[in-house]
Amino acid sequence: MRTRQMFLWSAATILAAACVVASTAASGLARQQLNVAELLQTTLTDFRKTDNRAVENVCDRILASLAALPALDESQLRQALTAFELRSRARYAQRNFVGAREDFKAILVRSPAHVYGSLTVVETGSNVNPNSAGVFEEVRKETVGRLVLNIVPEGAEVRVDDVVVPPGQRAGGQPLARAGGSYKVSAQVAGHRRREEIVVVAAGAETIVTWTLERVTSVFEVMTSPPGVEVFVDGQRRGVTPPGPPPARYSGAPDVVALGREASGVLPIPDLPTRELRFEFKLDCYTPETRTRPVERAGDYYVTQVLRRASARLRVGGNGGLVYIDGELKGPVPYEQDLCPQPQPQVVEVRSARGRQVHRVMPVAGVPIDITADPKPAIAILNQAGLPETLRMDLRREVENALASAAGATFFAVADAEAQAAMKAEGLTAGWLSYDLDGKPVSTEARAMTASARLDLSRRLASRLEVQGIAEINVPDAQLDPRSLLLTYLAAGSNVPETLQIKLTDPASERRAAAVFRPGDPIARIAAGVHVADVAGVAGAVVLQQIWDLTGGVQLQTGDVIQTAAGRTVADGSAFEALVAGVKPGDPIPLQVRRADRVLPVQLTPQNFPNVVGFYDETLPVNKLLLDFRLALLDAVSPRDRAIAGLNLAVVLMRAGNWAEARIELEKLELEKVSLPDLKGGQGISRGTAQYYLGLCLDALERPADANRAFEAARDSPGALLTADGPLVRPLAEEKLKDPSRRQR
Amino acid sequence: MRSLRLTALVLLGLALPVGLRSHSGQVDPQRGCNLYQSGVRSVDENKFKDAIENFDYVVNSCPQPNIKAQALIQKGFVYLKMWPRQFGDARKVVDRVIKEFFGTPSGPEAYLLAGMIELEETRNFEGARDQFKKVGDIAPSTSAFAESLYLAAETRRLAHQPLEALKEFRDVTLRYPRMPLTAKALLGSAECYVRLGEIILAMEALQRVRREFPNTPEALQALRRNTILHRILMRGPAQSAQAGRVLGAGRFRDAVGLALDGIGNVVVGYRDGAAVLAPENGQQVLALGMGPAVVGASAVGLGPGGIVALARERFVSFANGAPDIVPGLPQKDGTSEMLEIQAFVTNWRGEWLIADGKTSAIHRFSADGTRHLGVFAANIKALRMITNGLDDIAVVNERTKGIDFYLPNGAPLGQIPRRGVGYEWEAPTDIAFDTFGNLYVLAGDKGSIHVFDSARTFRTTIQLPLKGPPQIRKAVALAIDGSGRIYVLDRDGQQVLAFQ
Repeated sequence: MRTRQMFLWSAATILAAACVVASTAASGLARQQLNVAELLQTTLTDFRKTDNRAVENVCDRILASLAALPALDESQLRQALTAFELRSRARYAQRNFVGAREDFKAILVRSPAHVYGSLTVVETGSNVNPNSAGVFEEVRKETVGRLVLNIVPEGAEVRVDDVVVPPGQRAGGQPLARAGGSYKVSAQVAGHRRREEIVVVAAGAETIVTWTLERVTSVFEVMTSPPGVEVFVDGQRRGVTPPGPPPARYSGAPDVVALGREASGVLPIPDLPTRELRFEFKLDCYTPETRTRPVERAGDYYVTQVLRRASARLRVGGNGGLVYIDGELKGPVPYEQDLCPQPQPQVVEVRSARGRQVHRVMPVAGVPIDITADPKPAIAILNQAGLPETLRMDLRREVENALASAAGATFFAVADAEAQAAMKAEGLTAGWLSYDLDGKPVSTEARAMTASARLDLSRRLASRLEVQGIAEINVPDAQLDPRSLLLTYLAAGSNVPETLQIKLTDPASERRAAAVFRPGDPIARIAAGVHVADVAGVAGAVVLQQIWDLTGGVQLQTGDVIQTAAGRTVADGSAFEALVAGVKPGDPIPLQVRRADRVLPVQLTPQNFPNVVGFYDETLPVNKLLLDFRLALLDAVSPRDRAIAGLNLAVVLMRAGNWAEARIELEKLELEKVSLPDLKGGQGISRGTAQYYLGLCLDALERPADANRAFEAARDSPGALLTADGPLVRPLAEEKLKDPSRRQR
Repeated sequence: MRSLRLTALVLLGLALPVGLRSHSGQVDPQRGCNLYQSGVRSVDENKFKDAIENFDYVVNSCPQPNIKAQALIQKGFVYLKMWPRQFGDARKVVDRVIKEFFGTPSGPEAYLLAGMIELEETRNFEGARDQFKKVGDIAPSTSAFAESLYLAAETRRLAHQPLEALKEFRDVTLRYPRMPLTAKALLGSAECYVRLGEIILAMEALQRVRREFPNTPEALQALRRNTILHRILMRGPAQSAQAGRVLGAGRFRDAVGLALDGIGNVVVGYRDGAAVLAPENGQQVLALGMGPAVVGASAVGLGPGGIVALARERFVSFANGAPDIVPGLPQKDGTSEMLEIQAFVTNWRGEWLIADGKTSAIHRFSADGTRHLGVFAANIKALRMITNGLDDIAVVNERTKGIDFYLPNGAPLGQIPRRGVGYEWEAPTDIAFDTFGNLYVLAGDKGSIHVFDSARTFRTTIQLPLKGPPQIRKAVALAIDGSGRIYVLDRDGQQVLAFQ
């Protein structure tokens, strides 16, 4: 333990010491730099004072400082040259010619093309001694030689002692001045063998290097239209063509001109072997191209390629809604965009408050994709249960296809990541919505879920996924038939799971399932306000009773026979009902009515009468109707239509176990004072109907006193019907008010 | 029954491919299952023995419990349909399904069968309802439950509880508005409305059947019933019989009565036997010589199982060749005293109610005619007897010339005197019920038919044509079919006339 502590202590000490040393060294370097600059200023002052000795001394110190550095940068080199120049001038003035010559040589070794006085004349304000300048040139002749570089090809990169020689100083340019001695000269260019040699530059002489680099491979310059094309040679990616335009040297090349305005710059591809080369050009949204070019000998070549667009025009028409592509919002309808072919289908969606429309498209170049926006209530197929993982089948897409013809809803498979995130967020596992056709749970997960939890979940999931309903697939016997499945769904805010049976290998089964989601029935129907009957042996519709005065005050009597309507013979009661169903509400139709031995002309004006779904109907497709009536409410224009849709929605919500929301809908009918038609002594759907349902709601919400008030209001509406086909609400309300099980509560 | 069969067929259809796939060897054990359909076909053709054989085969050889159970249930219903009915065997079926197949979809249907047994065997209405209720307790969201609600409502109707029945029929129509069962419930509702005097509501219910279930047998029934209601209850108090047609003129000597068999054919009883006529055209579809005419016939009607029966003073002969029965009153010395049969009917259980001229009483006998079960009604000379859909009995009382009514247990229900507001007759010659329990009284001397509703209130008189053609000379018998058509037997004209 002690040893360990000692070791740590020692290590820390060493580290601290190293830091101190490093820090001291760094600060010393900075100080030295600072000193050189200060010293230069000092020596310039001394020079102006013609204190040559002082100048010499200070320059010695400057040069000693700089010599201690491992290498000099540009500014330090300038400082050194300035110091040498000042010292040489001071020495020359003191007639120390030998020392001056040493300084001249030192300058020229470091800067063979140096112009004597260039660093000090201005700074000191005094010209150099012409004699010393002459001596300087003498020393230049003794020290510096000229290096002439003639390298072919011209574009080759030439280096002298690893320093790149600017293009202007190569063949045809200015020779290089170099102090006599050996230099490493190298030259390289694409497609040629690199050459490197030691060249001895003789002082005062001209040394000429003439090289022609040996051609060994080919270079292709690639230009494309448009730019940005990935180029592959013999399967190897070699780069992307840069933005244009092409270099001027190609201005006359017809095939480059043919690239047009979208021509790229040049992508050089070096080191290509001498053989047939296979070029591939790829760019998203363009048709890939391939071409081969035989290369018989190494050389410089170019190749051009025009790529054709391979997109399909997507046009989404219609009114309303937002367009999403692969889950990303693109813009409102109407919308247009080019879609590029992809290996996977792209999901084009139109979303609106009405629902969704989902298309999985595989764009084909040049084939437009036209979509008319018509979103329908959307049911998101979240997951599947009952399939072993080894089968690796995603039936959700198949079910989406199977139910594509459903006219009243859009079933779609949620994107995997989104579905998994939603399931995870809710802590759900497969089987959570697995029910059989009788509505019984068939999985542990489904059995464990309470009705209220299911209701909340349906609401939350639908809200999260921005849909109107959710669904799960369950495969009851994957071993027997993995494509024979049950699809259970919930509308948002419903706790009543409903199940479709689909056999994906049987189109008839798919059609049957899709047919369940036919468009919603109208919420009102036309009627004549008179009940009639078929009677064998009686030509015409026998009048049973008139329940609405739609005959302009002429009261039809029991036993009257309607013989003709709108000029057509009426065979019986059924024929009369069919005839009325086909006329426009509000359009009068003339009737001939036989009463005893007389024939009476009567004008009948059929009207639309509201209808309400049967609350007690065990066969009611609850979830489907929830979708229908929410849509109807959205589409309703008149207050009356809103009231009828709202009443229907409330009834279905009650069936869906959502009493609270149903109550809100029903009370909204009251609060808005949106009136269903006054009965005026007739029979039909009315405020009394709404009151009866409100009573049921309040009963379920354990508000018996309020419920009683609603039932009393219903009881006092003598003509109110439960549905357009009856029965009367009054006796039902009376039964509720008398119900001992209710009264005990 | 229809919907039960449908359920079973669906089950079978789903099951077949499974079985065939899993058993592709030489022996096809599915054959046993397939015979289920043959059984159903046999039931439709009234071949009950064949049906039972087929269902037995299914039960013994089909490997699928669902189909087995359904076959058992079907067999149970056949036991109730065949004659004589096999209540004991039907009960065994119930026990077996509950014991062995309770978990199958047919399990709950055992209680439907049990309820039907209660109804058919003993008219134990409460017992039947208890059984039907069990279906709701164990399988509330099945088609069997829907059926049980309907049958419970029917039970109310049969138990003379029209108000309660109406509520329960309403429950069926509200819960299952699109199921065929609702058409039946509406027909039942209409009958209840008629019993309650709500004729317009009855016709509205019937018209709803026409509108919502077109082209079904129920729609046809609804039309017929609307027609009856319209004729009887919506027209004026007096009317002429319309469009009389002659059926089988000049063929019947010493005719004694008219009856309608189970499929609507007109049965004419006469001295030597009976003739069965097609109602559409009067064509004789069957001529029945019913034993040697040692004595003339006194009455014609339907015996147990709907077999045409002819009474010949002391014994009864059958059209199907079954042995005659000779009902007698047991004496203290062990002998039996034969009756002087004036009229007869059979009740739902197949028991005979026989009017005896000697004792001026109506006696009850077992279905085989061998056991005297007691006096149904005493001190009455009954010329004619009929029964309605609720098993009420109407009797033409020879002494009072009025019509007496009895409940199925013999308790007096009321009477219609020979004279009342709007009608009068000297001597009623025959009576008939229509579908709704309206009573038609034939006053042969005046050639008129007086119509009373189910509350025994006079509604209308139909005058028969005494001057032709067609012409009725002496009307002696009357029958009403399901469409409300009136058949009148003209003894002197030796003809049957049909009136719409």
